[in-house]
Amino acid sequence: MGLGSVFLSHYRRHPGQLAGLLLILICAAMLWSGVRSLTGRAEHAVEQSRAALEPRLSVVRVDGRPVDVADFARLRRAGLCVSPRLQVSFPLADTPDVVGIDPFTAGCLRQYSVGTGVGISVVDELLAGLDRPTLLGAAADLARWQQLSLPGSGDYRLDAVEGLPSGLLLSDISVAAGLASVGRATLEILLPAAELDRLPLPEGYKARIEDYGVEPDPLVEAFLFNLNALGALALLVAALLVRSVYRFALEQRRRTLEILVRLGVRPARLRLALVAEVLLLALAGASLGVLFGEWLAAAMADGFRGTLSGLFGMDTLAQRPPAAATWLGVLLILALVVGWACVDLLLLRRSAQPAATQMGERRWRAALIAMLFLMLASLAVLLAAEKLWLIFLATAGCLVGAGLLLPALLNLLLARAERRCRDQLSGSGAPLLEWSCAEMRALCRLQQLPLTALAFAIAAVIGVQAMVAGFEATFARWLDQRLRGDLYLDPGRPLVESAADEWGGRLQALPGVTAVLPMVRGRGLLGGLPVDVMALDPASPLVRGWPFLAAAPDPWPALAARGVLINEQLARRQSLALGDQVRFRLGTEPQAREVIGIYADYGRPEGELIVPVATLPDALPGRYTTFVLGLNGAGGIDWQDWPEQYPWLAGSRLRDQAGLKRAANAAFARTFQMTRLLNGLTLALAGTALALMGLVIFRIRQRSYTLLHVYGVPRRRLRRRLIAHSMLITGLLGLLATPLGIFLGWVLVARVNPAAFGWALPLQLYPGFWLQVWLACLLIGGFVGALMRDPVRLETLKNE
Amino acid sequence: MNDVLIQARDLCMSYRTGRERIGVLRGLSLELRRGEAVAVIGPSGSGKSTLLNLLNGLLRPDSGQLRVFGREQAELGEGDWAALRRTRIATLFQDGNLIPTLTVARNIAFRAGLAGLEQHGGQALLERLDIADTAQRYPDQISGGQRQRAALACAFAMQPELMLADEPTGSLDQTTAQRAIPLFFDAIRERALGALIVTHNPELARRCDRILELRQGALSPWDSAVSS
Amino acid sequence: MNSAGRLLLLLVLLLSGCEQPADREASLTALRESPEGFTQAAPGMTVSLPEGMGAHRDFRLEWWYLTANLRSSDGERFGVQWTLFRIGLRPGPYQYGAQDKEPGWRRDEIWLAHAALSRPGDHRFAARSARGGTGQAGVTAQPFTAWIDHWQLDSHEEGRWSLAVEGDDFAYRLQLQPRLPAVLHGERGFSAKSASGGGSMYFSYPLLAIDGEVTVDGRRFEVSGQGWFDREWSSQYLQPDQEGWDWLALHLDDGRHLMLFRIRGAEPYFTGTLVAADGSARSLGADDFSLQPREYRDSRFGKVPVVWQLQLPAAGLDLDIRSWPGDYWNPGRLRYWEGPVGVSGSHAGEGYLEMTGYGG
Repeated sequence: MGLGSVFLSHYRRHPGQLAGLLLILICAAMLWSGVRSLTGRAEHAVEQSRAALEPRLSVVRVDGRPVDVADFARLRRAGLCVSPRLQVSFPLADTPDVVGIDPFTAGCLRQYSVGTGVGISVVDELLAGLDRPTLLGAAADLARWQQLSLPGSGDYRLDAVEGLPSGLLLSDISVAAGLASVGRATLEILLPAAELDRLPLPEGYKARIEDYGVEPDPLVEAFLFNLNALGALALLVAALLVRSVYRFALEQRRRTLEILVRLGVRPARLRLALVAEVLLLALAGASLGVLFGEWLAAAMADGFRGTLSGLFGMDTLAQRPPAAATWLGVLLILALVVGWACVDLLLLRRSAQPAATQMGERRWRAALIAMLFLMLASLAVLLAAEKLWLIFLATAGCLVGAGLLLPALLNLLLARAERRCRDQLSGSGAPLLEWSCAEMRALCRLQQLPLTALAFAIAAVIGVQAMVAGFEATFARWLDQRLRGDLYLDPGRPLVESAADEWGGRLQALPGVTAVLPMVRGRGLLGGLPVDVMALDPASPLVRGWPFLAAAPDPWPALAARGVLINEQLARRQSLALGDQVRFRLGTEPQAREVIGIYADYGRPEGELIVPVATLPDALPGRYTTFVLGLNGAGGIDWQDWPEQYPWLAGSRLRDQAGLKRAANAAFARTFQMTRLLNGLTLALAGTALALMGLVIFRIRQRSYTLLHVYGVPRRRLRRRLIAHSMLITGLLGLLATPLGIFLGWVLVARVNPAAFGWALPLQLYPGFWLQVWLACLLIGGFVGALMRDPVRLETLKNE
Repeated sequence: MNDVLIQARDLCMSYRTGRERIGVLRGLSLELRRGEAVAVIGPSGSGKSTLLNLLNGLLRPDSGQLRVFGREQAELGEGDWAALRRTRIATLFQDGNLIPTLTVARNIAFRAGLAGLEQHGGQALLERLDIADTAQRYPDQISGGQRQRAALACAFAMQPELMLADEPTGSLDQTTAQRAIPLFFDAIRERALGALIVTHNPELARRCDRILELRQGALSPWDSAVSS
Repeated sequence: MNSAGRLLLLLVLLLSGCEQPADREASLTALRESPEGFTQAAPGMTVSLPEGMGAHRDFRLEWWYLTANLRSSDGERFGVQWTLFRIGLRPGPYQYGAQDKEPGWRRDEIWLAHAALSRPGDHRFAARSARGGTGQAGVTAQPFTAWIDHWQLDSHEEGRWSLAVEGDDFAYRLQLQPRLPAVLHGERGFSAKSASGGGSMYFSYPLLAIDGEVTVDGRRFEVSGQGWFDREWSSQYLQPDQEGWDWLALHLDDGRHLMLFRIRGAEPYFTGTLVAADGSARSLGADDFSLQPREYRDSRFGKVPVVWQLQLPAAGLDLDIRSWPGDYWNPGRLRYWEGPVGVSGSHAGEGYLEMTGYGG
């Protein structure tokens, strides 16, 4: 009989243990790969939203005539990376617009270089379909198109593609051109804003400047950065779980292994066999876990519809082959972690008795004090550090310290409660209460690692939520601020001051217009550094409600009189605070004003200052005036027709602020939703692992419960007590881990962001969400306890 | 006051292992009076532990009559049995009688507390048993002999009327057992408890008033001539 | 020459960058099969100039292909390749009624350009593509101009040409002067590609005197040297059993020029043209010369022959042709080698070596 069969016999005797061990390994792999997959999806969603919001310039002719093919060829031949976009809309309501692009030049625009989510970009699709007119779009739009049967629409190949906006079919530009006679066609020649830094436009053309625009790049980058940091935390949780579980299971086999050594099996061979077992277990766990993780992430991200269709067809599999890299990564991590877990065993050392000894108590205290020191030192570093890696390191220190401290803290609390029961309570319930406290303390010690893991999971969940909710709120507010009013008007040409005033008057006279806010942008100098300058009318009703990070009372009147508003970037860079006097130069004119407000400005790398429009010199470099209009009920006003109706408005561009806001919000909503799913996954899997651990640990505690039964405590009461113990521990842990979560959120928004990007996000607290988390913790505890069914087993009383 | 603590007649008890039913007790009868110490001997697997667990209500017989403290077992619910175990019946095992997470002193207080006794004289008990210095220790910090004596202290702290002991000296070496046995009997006699002691230890058995042998599921008076 | 594989190459380059589902193979297959409606090059067809410099829309594929060996004033060597390809998606001429000449968004033809700059041990490559019909890319015969975006080859007074190309990390601006008249290959311009018939219309300017400037990573070099310019159009490609070709264009120091190729397959096919210093040309067949690989190099994409021996006894030539050190692959799904060579042996010289079908 070989060594292998002795190893196997252990699991044959305890199939439940093997199943449990595998289950936990699978859970850990699932957690990691699921989080990876969701993070990947979130990144993808963000990438797409970002591409959709890229500031694109549209090239127009100076003579005001619409651009055509020849203009496109001329711009290309001038060396500019421009690409055409021919949008054809049809008179029939509900008909999707056909948008024709040129796949040969589409690479210039980031929008099209992003895949559709299945690895093939729309550009490749269009290239491949060049020999036959092809329309790409969402399935619903294609169905609608077929239903309408426009003239000649039968000749098109219709290809359903995920990830395209609804109400829009994408085609080769030649296909769109063929449809132009049926509908209304508008040709735009687009180029990325950065292209004009490289080359000027040829004579006779100008770029229509998108306004200061929705450029969410820095915000998005920060978001992804933080998300990745949290992904690493999820890995830590998984590692802790595996370590605790595997080590625990192996502890039970120590006796067998010791017998084998006594029987003369060479320890080296024993170790080899253990290593083989570790690898096999890691392999099995990683493979299944990755598979389940992907599946779970898919189920969560796409909803059940997508998953079901994936089950019955090969589509899902074909589109998402199990990521080999993820699988390998998980395998490696699990092998490492499991290896670490059984290092003690490999060395065939006897571990310290886990029982409640006074010796243990003393060591416990020492560890506690060491952790406290680690935490305080890390915290000090964290507060002082400016370097990103130092911040991360210090955060890790704080986390490790706090993570190990939490079960200790729990233990301390319970010890105190135990003493209290002993000294102060009397009556028949008191001894049982005392016992309960002692029992829970024992559980805390036995479950230290999985509890730490759960604490991290709770902290991660609360941290992620704070960050995501903070981002979401910030983003919404930021959009609000950027897209104030109902309509945005770009005159399409620079206006000198007098013309701008005249425009303001004329705009005010337009039907339905209730307010006109001219906004003048330009460049200035502050302390030798170039800054963006924006000027507006402080008296306008459209600036009301502008949120500030810090502001003097009544900032708008103060702005008109003596003040200047600056953005957060400028405040940080120049160490400016409210009440400081700043000197700056607008054109040739030096000015000195007092900082009366600091506003958040997430989209901008540059410093910016806002001055009242009245103080602006006409010769401001880069001066460009735009207007924001307030409308009297935007619904009934045909503002779309204004440029045709009023000759002085010809060439100008109007944009519906609310529509833009909606589109931008929708693009980000999916990202935020993804991140929330990540939360649920982390908590659920940490809970599952804890439940499995609990099952093993409670079995060990059965003797205590049975003894109590012999002492005359009825079975039902013991069972209730066991569930209560479990819930109390997880619930208390949830309470204690909450500050850790808040801390994590704070680190991300208040320490990491300023170091990485120069601006901080506000830290917001969400007690409602904490309540949910606590409830979840109680449920996890209750579930773990309920799993035990009957804690009394007379067999445990048998003499060995 | 009825002096008969236990009255059993024709008790039958069987276990199911796999598909088979194995009869452990087949028509066992027994009577135990207050102040009487009875030893039960028998080979391994003869059903001695089962007998104890029937007498303290942890198991129910398949058939037969059992009266404990004058009450019919059929009339006793789970709660009644639990109350009996809390206040009147002490059970002592070979080892593991103490709650590992509480100190010896707290174990004693715990048992007394469960029995509803405010005063338990724990320290005096420990002194009596010569283990006063273990009071603040945890069970795994003291020796096996000390542990068994502490268990005894716990059992006496609840002031029981019936003591059921399952190999109380089984885990002790001979010297330790020699010292523990007189203490055990002194305590029982002093309180005039009824005691049923399952044991292999001849010294322990000899000190009892009667010795019964459990064989083929029934008790019979032990005939030392036949057995030895 | 080399029409067949080049077309495949182009299409695959065009469609590169993604795995194509089976049904999308349709467009590729359509072009692999004998194209319907396109004119086939055949013996008896001739080349006329200057029309030959313009586009031939009744043919499937054509190119304008320049290779040049250049040297800076301090002796540094450069190789330049610039090629404009036209692929017909359907046979021309293209009719759009009254707006025939108007530019528009069409689906008739595709233009592609490859530009490369080579130095010993260094090869840089850039590519561009465009649809036909917009004016973004095209060719006119009179005056001769070929362009795609801002890359362009123009002809000027006195028969001078100029070429301007700009890649991400290199650029060149060259003046080119054809010194010898165009040479028609094969039978008055019909160049056979296999023993079983089929081929392309093919002529070359065998000697262009070149000067200008080359920029690499921001460093500018004044350069001069000589080049070879190919014009070729065809609708028919390699036979299924032909796997690739080796093509050489050489300038010898005695003023002679040489174009040779070998099409590899079950039955290797050899042909070539020898141009005398006075510009008179002679077609070469398999019996006239032997062209054999002598040494191989481990390149990025596998072993390739980089040293060749050419023996052409009737012209007194026994040449040792050696690629510059380095790796001269133009990347893409169906990549090809396009790199400068030096010539020694019975005569000294320089030129270009093009190879396809190696390294899978």
